[in-house]
Amino acid sequence: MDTSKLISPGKVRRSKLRLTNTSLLLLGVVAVFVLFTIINPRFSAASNLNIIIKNMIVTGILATALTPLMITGGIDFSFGSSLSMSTVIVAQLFSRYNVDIWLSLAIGIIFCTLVGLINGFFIERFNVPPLLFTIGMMNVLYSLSLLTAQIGRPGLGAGSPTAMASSLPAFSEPLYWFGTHSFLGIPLSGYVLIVVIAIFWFLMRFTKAGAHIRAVGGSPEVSSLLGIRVHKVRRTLYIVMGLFTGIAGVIMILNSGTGSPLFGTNMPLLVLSAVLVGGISLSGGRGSIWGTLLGVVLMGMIYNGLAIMNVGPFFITALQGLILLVIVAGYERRGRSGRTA
Amino acid sequence: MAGQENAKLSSNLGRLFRRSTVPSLVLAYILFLLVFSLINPVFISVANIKNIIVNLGILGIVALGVSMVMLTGNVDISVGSNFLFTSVIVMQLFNMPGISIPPIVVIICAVILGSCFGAINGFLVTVVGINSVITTLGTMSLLKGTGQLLAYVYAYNGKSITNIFFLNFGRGYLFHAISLPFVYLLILLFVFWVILKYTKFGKDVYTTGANATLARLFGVKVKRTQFVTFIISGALAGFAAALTVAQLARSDPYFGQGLEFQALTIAVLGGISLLGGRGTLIGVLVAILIVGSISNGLAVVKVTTNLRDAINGLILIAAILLDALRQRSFGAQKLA
Repeated sequence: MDTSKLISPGKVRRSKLRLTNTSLLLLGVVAVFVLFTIINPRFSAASNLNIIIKNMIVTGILATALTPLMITGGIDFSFGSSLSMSTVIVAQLFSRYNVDIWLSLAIGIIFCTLVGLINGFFIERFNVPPLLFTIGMMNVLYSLSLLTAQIGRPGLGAGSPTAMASSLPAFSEPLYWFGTHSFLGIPLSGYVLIVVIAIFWFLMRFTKAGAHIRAVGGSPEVSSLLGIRVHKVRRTLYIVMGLFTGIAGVIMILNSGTGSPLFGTNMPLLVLSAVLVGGISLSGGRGSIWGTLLGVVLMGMIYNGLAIMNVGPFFITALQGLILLVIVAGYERRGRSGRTA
Repeated sequence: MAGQENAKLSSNLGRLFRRSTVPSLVLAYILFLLVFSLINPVFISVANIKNIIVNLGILGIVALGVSMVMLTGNVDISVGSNFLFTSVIVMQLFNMPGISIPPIVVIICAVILGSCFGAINGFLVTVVGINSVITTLGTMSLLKGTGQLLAYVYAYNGKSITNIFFLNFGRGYLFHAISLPFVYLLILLFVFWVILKYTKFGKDVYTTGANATLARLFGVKVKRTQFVTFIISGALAGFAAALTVAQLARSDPYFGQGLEFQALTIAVLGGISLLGGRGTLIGVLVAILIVGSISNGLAVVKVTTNLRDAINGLILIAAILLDALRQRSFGAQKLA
């Protein structure tokens, strides 16, 4: 890989860079907020802000878990499909096979963790390009989630994917209570996000694991010379990503009361854009949890702002691509991105 | 390494299978044909083989373009959306009120439009310097959204194409047996095989993919080579889109979905390395036959579409893993 990274002094200059990036990002968040409020005053209404926060919870959890993985130079693109698959599994288990709700939720989380385990194992064991491997995984899981959603509903087979989304049977108490109540103006699931952020911040800031993650991101070669098992660090982070994908899936179920194969289809590009705009490089080494969070807020506001302007789903698809390209063109420079290819 | 004479033959055979994927691919293909024709004899009927070939041509042309990009060490997964967008435009060109455009002009327009999208990818990868997977993920989403939007704006319901020459361009048969798109595919494969084998550009493609830094030191115009392969890939996707519209006489906002991954599967399975610089178009041809026959075979034994997609995805993952293993054995040989 890149050898110039080995000799770059890096540390001091990098932290300064991050500071300016973060303040720039903060400025961007404020600017977008003001802009959308001017376009449509409804944007900054309390009810809409509540929607923004609610939509940000799932993407926030995913982006937070993706951050350390991408700092080490890994990447995951399969979490969207993995999440939808787990919600479909839970919905089917609960409503069709009368499995206890807590057990179904646990199985959903275990499923996502297993996906992370498989990703990590193959990518690190065989040195497979992670982006392409997880894109392949995404395709497989998407098809499987459509298949699973069809079980017991043969009429849906011929329809388009959109017909599949017409929810699997809804959930009842106590999940309904958890999904609809809020405390101090924040939905209860929002506290899950806060806990997740706290865990990752603590992990990255104060533990040996966090130091290892940053070391691997800075230079895998030097880290392995220092005795850090690079593959093991990344493999663990893929599993962690899987685990938190499962938790995000549970939140998705709580908020919507259902499972659907379409929940995660738009997520990968959205979360990836959020993480990248937060200052993480595709080749690893840079980035922080706080940058990612600002990225999540920024992306959440942009998509919500567009949604209340009533732009159609095709516009959203097109803009997702455009936003990703603009962000990456602004941040990325060639030459460091050998592995992610 | 030990150089005993009797071990030489077996090690040569082993190397043949490891270095070049073609023999093992052919073997796998024959096995596959046997199994499927045992399950359902319809599979090897003349009518079905004709059917397989009809579907192969278009898929193969797209896969050929993707293979060219991959030989230089990049990946293009925007071809499916490029295909969708171009097919919508082709459909619109035939439905312009009051104007009738000659089919040949439409086909040329499709190729040019496709290559423009390819050029955008090439620009972002070589000039701006973004990783090719991320670039083409972005353009994939961008073109898909705008293409579907256009499809709805133009609203094709009930509209169709009546130009016989254009329809025959996609539907015709050579000698009443081989569908024309497959003939185009064979011609294109031959042309690109010659280009790769006998021209300086072909050599540049392989050198760039094998080691871009070294290639630059040897005076190869690395960026230009990569740029050109993106244009080739886009142009072939545009051409394939025109062929599809000619075959079906309609366009559809769901055209091209999953096409990019099928093309990627073919290229990787055919032995085009994900890291670039290794692989031949003969391997790609065999992989086209395999992937096309698998989709058809699964359909013949009545596997549902979703399960078929899942199996296709698994084949892609398997191909990526195989490529990684091959990479490793090749690396070991280089050291030895």
